[in-house]
Amino acid sequence: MKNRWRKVLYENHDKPDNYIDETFLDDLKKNLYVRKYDLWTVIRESGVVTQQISCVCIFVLLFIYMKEDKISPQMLVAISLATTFVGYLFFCWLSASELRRSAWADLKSAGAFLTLSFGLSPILMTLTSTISTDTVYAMTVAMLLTNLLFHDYGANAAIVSQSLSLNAAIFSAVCLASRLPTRWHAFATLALALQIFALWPSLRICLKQKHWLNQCLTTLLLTVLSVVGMATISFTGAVLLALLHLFISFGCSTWLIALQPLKNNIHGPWDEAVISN
Amino acid sequence: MEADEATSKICKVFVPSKCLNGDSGILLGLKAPGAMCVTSVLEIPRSNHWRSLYSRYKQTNHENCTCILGVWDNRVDSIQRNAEVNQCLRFAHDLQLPIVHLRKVNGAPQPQVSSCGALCDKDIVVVIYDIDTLANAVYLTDRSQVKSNLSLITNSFAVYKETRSEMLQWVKSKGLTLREFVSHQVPLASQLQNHVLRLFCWFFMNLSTFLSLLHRCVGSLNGYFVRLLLSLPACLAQVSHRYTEIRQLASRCLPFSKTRDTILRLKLKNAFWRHIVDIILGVAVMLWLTKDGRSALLAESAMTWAQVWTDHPKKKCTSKFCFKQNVASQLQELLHWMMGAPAGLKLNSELAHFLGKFFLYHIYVWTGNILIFHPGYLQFLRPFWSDAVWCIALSGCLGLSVQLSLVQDLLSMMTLHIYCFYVYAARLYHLQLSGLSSLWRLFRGKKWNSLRQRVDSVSYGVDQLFVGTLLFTILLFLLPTTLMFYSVFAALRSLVLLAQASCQLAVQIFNALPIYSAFLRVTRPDKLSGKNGVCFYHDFQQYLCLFQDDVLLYALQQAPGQPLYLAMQFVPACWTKLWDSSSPSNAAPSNSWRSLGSKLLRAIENRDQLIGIYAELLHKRVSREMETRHERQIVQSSKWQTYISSQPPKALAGSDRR
Amino acid sequence: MIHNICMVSDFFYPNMGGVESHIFQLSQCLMERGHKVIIVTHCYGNRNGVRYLTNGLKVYYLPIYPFYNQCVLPTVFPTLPLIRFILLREKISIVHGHSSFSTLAHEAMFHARTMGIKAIFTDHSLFGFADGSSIITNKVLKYSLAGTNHVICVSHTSKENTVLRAAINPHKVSVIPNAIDGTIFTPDPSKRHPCRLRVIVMCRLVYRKGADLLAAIIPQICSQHPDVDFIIGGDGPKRIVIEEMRESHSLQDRVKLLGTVPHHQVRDVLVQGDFFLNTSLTEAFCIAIVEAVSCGLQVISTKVGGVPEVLPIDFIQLAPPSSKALVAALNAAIDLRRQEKHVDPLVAHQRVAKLYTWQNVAMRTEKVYNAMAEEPEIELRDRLLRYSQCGPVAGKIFIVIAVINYFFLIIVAYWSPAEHIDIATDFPHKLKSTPQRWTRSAAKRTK
Repeated sequence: MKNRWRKVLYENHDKPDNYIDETFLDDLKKNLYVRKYDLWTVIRESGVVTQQISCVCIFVLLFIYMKEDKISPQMLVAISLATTFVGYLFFCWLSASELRRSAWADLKSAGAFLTLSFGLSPILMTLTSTISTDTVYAMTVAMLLTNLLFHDYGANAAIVSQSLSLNAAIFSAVCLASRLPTRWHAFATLALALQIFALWPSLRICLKQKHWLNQCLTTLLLTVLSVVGMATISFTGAVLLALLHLFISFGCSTWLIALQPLKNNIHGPWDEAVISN
Repeated sequence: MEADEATSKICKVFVPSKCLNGDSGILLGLKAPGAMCVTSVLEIPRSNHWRSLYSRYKQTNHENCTCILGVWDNRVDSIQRNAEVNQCLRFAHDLQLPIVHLRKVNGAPQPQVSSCGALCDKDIVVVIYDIDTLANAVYLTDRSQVKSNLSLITNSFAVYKETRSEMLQWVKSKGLTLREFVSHQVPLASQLQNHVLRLFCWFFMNLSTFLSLLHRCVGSLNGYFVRLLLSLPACLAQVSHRYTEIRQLASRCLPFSKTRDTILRLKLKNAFWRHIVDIILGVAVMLWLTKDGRSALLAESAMTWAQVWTDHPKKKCTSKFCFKQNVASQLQELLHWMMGAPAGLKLNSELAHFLGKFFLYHIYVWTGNILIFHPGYLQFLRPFWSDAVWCIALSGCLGLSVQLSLVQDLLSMMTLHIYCFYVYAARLYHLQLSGLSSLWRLFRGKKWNSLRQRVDSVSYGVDQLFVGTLLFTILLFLLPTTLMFYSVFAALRSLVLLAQASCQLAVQIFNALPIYSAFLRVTRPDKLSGKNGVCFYHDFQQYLCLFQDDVLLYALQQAPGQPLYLAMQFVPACWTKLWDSSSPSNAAPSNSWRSLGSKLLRAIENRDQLIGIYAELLHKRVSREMETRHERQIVQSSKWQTYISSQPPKALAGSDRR
Repeated sequence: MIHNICMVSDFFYPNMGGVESHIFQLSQCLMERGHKVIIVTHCYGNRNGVRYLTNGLKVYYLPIYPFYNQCVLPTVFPTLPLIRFILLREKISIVHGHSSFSTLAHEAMFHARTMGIKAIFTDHSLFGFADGSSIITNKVLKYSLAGTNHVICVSHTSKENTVLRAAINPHKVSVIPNAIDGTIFTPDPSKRHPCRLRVIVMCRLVYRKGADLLAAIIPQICSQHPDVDFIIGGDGPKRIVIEEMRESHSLQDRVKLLGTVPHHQVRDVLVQGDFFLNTSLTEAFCIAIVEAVSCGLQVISTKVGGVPEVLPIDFIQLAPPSSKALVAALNAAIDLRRQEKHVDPLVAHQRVAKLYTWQNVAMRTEKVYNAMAEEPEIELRDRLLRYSQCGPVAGKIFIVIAVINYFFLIIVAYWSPAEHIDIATDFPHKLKSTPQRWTRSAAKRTK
């Protein structure tokens, strides 16, 4: 009696080795884990990337202002300290319920930062004086790109490394600081970098968690600030920046959603198992 | 063939060539498993003495005992003694003795052997040699463990020497004569040398006992400090090395006439002659230096060479030992150059200036400036300098090597400032490098886990990251400056070290020179043998060198039914063998240029290590060349061997010969 | 029919592993059936040139150095002269490549197809589709298998996987499982502990083999059954996880870590146990569980890949890859053992040793060879057409490469003509029987 063909290796000796049963590829499943995306949610969430790009642009802009003497470093330091203080109060109010470090610890570390930056600024001032400007600018650009690449945008990807992005930003800040004439300039650049790259992300995350509308508002605000600021330096730059923002927010989102139907994920018993507990 | 000679089919018979010229007689000598060595020939006694002869010299299994080996039959000369010889042979046959019957046939130069008794089934190989050269030979390798042919011969002759007097007594009592081969006249020169050496050893042992008594009396000087003190300056190290070497050798050699270990005696003689030559050369240098006040002149020129050339313009260039520029001023120029932008390198000017000023101040302290009465280190040294050079000259009494090591010491003293600079720069550079490497890990968000000896990832706090990155940037941009200063001073220091190392290498080579062996090799090459000590000739006209003294290799022609005749001749030791046997073994870990480079790059330093490394690397190059030459020789000799052994071994193959 | 077979792979002795022993055993059994087999691999350190293994198995260690992960650098054209020389010299009629990772195998099969020699490929592993390395490997495999005549997979799951990855006709794929040496893996109940039960784990301690699962299971089992011990053989990056688990639960006397166990000692370790635990997350065939059953152990395994196809249900307890399910399965196996309802070791050995033998594998492989030999030869045009179906852009590139290789072959053939190549003498292998020789000359279609 002919038995039914079974998908086992210890039987079926009467069938040829390349026999194909009708159950062939029955276990194949396609697109099991495909997510459905909503356009406006995607656009809103992509604001994180635009925010970071805007921050970088603002930082560079302020550096250019200082270089062209449009703003004095003391003024910049004052503004930055003031905004930090305001932001800190806001942060405390927003995350009142959560467990945090005490205000005294925060004050201590703030004092440490300021003293260290101020103390090291004479050294930083002349650190790269013998290196050519082009090299310094190239290094700065590379480091800022590294910051953008490795920044923690909230996604759970392997490439994210918070330390590396922050360090790259500080490195670029030091490079830029060494191009400026006095120690106050250097100190201002450092303080600015600290504020924008180290302290601002935590406030931003806090804001986002509270309400999604905060996210949109901050995105809008930062984008407008960066484009307007760029416009004062160079018009083409502003246009390009605006286009970049539009592309990331709207263009990439629609592209992502348009590509979803073309997905062809193949799953089957051959997949490496995911440990479930 | 070596392994199982007792049961092998081969019996080697060693016959001195002098034996073949004399009258017939009974061969006396020593037996060993698979070999026999003839030491003397006894006149054939009358039949009534046979019993006593046999009972005295019967063959036993005892190794170190003279016994009857066979009969030498020179019938060409003495036809009338036919009967006696035949009687001899009959007697041996009756007693079932394994006898070698050596016979000269028709005046032909080749003796013939016919064996009887227990030797009938063995293949006989007769080896004829010249006794004079062989018996007094000195072997550079200790072959006492191996039962080689040469050791057998020397052993037999040594035994013979010991039992000689009683044998002569017995022979005289029977009214016979004994023909000996070895002359026991020690030449006058070597007798004298032995006496001198004995005196020398005795003197030295007494000196060492006196010194140890002194050391004990002086009290509790910590042994560690004494050793440190002895090893730090090179001259004292050399003196103590010389002293310990001779003391070791002397203590092992002291029952002088009784030592059989020829290698030890050779080493002692080498050490002695080396010492003598050293002292002679040293005294020569001393005489040359103290003539015409040359030492003072040298001291002065050395001092000006090291000094800033601002004072005493009168002392310019009158003597021919003056240099135009000198070290300190050159150093200053170098520093000024580095404080600028050397070679277009991008240095941090502040740091460069700071470091430059720092080092300039040191030079200032070193040289001093007479105009404001600031005593520098060199000024301080100046009065003692000429005395120091005179001391060098005087130490020639102890030998040239001690002088050289003193020079090395003085050089290191004179370049103390370079050493200081190097140490500062190296410390700074090392600190900066280690800081950079750990901060680089912080930059990437990782940390060194010393427990698991690996790099782990860790999440730092914002403040740590900030401070860390700031310091990292600063250190990174300041690195080229520090690196440049470090490399310049490391290069200077390396130069100084190279000079010192070459001095030390010269001293080490001198300490290992086998002077006496070389002298022997040149004048009496037959007295010195290396591992490849003998070679065998077949047919006495064919000069076929087979460089193995243990294995008798195959002959080219072999008449069937005849034993194999080989002539053994001495091969004097080659020069590389001489060098190898006397140079000290290096048990130090092997250093390579690469490890040296990596040590320099990471600024890990240890003075003695570095000197030692340089010296060893120089020495390695020298000895490697000698090794390759030695290897080439061995390759050539083994080519011969393969050529020979490609012939089928007809001679000693099997029992079908009989 | 007698074939002259050339097995090609980057993985061979002195490396010890699944693919290596598969190639060796298969070659030995094919030689016993009368075929001529040679093996071509890259050099291992000083091991360079031609060596002979058991029964005169000739191995060519080519002087090409491994580049990454024990595979040679994939330069397509420079290996052509050397491989052509070997194939002509040994009068090879079939080139059999092993393992998708092995670049040498792909290159050799490619050159064999250019020369008109039949090529067959055996795939030993499963691949995903989503990550970067898989995408590239699948493309290369598509290209490589577009030219081959036949493919062998070691399990049905592997067949489905290969068919999807390389987009080939499923009729071209045969399923021939791996096998074990039943004479070595024999049970020995006397080596077991009289009072305690032992669970053996024998795998590399890497993520793929489920070392994290293992670390999660052991404490639970040890707390539930005080008389159960674990013996873990193998080493890897996850060994630290196991050791940490051992220390934190104080299981030093109940969990033994043996480190890397040499191949010849595996059986001695296996017979000491009562159970064999396999926690791997992906497996094409898993020879280890067959070896374990052959030694009389009960097997508990994760239900992944081709594992459910290998053993009958009474020999194995399967569980999805979660620690809870595995603990339940191990408990079930221990209960069976306690109630003496498990399969007797000797019975298990006899059944399994008969199921998976190398002679069976060799016979089925020979059938594939015979079928391949009777196929008509594919023209160059059809081959290029098949290459062009690999993709819009990639297909064109592949065609170009194939054409260049063809021209290069013509140049090489002009430079060193086939008539001037010395034919190697065949080693007189020990045969089981003496079948008739295949008369068709293998040099007919080569240029």
